[in-house]
Amino acid sequence: METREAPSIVRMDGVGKVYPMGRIRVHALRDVTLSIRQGDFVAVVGPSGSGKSTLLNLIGCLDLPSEGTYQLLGRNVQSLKDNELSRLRGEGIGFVFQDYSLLRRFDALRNVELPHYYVHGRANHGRALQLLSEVGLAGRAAHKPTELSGGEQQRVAVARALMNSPFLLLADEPTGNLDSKSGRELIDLLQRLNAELQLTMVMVTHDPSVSSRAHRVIHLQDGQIVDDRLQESAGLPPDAALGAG
Amino acid sequence: MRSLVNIWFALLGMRTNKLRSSLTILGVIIGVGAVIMIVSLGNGLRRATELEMEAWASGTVEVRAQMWGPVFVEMEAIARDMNVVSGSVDELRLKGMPPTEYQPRGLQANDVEALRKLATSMVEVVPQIETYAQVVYQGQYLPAGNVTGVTPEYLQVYRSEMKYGRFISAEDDSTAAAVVVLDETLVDYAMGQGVNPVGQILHLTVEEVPQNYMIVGVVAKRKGIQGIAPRPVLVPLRSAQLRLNTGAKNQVHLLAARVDSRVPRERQYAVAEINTILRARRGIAPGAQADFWVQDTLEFSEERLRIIRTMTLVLSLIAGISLVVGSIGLMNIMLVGVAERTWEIGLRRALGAQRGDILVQFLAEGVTLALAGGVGGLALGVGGSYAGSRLVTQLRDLATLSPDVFVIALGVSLIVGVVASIYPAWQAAALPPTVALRSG
Repeated sequence: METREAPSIVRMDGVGKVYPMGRIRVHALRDVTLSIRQGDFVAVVGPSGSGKSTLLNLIGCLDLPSEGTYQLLGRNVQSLKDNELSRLRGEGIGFVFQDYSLLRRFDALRNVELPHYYVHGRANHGRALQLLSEVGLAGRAAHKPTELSGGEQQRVAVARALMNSPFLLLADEPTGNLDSKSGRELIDLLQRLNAELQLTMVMVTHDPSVSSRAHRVIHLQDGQIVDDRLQESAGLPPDAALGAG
Repeated sequence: MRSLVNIWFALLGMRTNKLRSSLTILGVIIGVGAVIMIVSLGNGLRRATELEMEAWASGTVEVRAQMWGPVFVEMEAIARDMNVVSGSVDELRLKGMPPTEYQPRGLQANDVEALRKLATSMVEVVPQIETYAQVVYQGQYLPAGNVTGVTPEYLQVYRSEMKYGRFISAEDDSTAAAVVVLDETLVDYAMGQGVNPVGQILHLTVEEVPQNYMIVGVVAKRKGIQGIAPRPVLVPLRSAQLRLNTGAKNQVHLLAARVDSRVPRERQYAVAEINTILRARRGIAPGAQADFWVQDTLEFSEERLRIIRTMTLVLSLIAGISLVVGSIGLMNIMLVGVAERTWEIGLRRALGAQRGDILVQFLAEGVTLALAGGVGGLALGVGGSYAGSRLVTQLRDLATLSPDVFVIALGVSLIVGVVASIYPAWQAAALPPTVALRSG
């Protein structure tokens, strides 16, 4: 696969994350070594409490590892200052959350523009409208989140994640709150973005029909990677994948 | 640009919780309003006192001759020698003892001349005679007993202006003319509002002999005077000396000097200068008791102003307590707002917001709430003090709208806003993004 030869975006070496819980220290992640290349579409699976979200937060620079080294685009993340981390997140990383995480008082357009304000300090209606039409919400720019369906809200969130043309898109259970049809449509969208823009994606999920769509599945258990494999059936719709299996 | 965006976010944030924002603003409004009411009524009280004091004493330095005291003791001693046990001046006069040769020197024209030529700290000086007479106008007694003999400098010394007619001229004085100038307050009270009595005849009755005087002018009423002015009836000095039987043919009772400075040290200098000149001219030995008093009429009013200032300050501090309560309310609301929007803060941080962005957003929210309270408080304070000065008799027309009230309102609310929201905003900015996101 040609993506294998692409440059490495995420490179983790012996990364661990320890949370103090009262007097005991809990290892949420332990000795994680992995490399994610440009254009990868990675699904992170595992039972709850296995450290999926912690790994995603570390990759997204929302948190720093307590052990090991983490390089993002060749830069050592642990050495960056808080403002540099903010800038890195704003400019290079798009986030999609399970609960859509839209600001209720902003319409769809403002929600999509939000990352642009923090990076460029001004609005950019043109790009936001273009992204909304790309996710199929051309006529919904002036709608508040409460006036949109769950699927539509999550697509607004995807458009928001794309606002600053990130090199990495992170999704934490993006279909978790959606019905199966909306969920399928959302994964179709993510897959299309991955294919068309060569946008690197890391997605946490526990839904096999979602993880089956990824190129690569990383299996976490008790904070450790227990399985990391490429999928032959990647890219096919879930029914076809099941049929092939 | 970035800060503007954050301020805009802050304004949007406030809009979502209108009731809470309004109540918070109300707290600040009451605090700022209370302070402004006190300050503006205090200013008014001070201004009224200043006006009143200037109206009565006009900020003059007065020199008053000693007319009794040692003289009376002297006469008592003589009376004892003459086997008269005791008695007042009148009793002594009745017993055939002419008191004239024991009379004190009073103040004389020479004193006035000396002050005019030598004193540098005063603008002008006016000699005065104070006496009593019954004032009768068109067969009616006017409610004024004291008649003051003055020279033309009076107008300048007391900063007065004419309402009708003219003032006493130098010629009136030198010829001891039978002319009189009235104060407008007396005319208003006794003859009716807006009556111009110039050209009419007035009787001054001294020892039951009425004398005819022509009213040649009316001195305009001064601001701050309530009731009848202290010197309602003015005649030429010489006329008072010669016609009104004051027993002081070449003397005056009072010198009033205008000192234009309001600086206490300069006024003290003027008092000292007058003392020095008069002691030298009157040949009073160093250390000996002078037979005159020099008094700064402003001294008393300064004292009163100090009391009013202290009072205003104390009341402002009490009013400031409600301001403190208001700002605690604001801080509380900001803390609640931060706690409530922890998730939103995490999201913004994930989307690229720096700590500074979050800090500015919450600071701007607090300051905007406080400034809104400041503007509202300004309206309440100004409106309240005007209403107070209209409705409460003791406070009538006391409210003053001075620029410092605006400075207080905006400055204080700005400080309240920053102080009350800096900690919550800092707390919001310090939240780690993952912790904040988890709280959603």
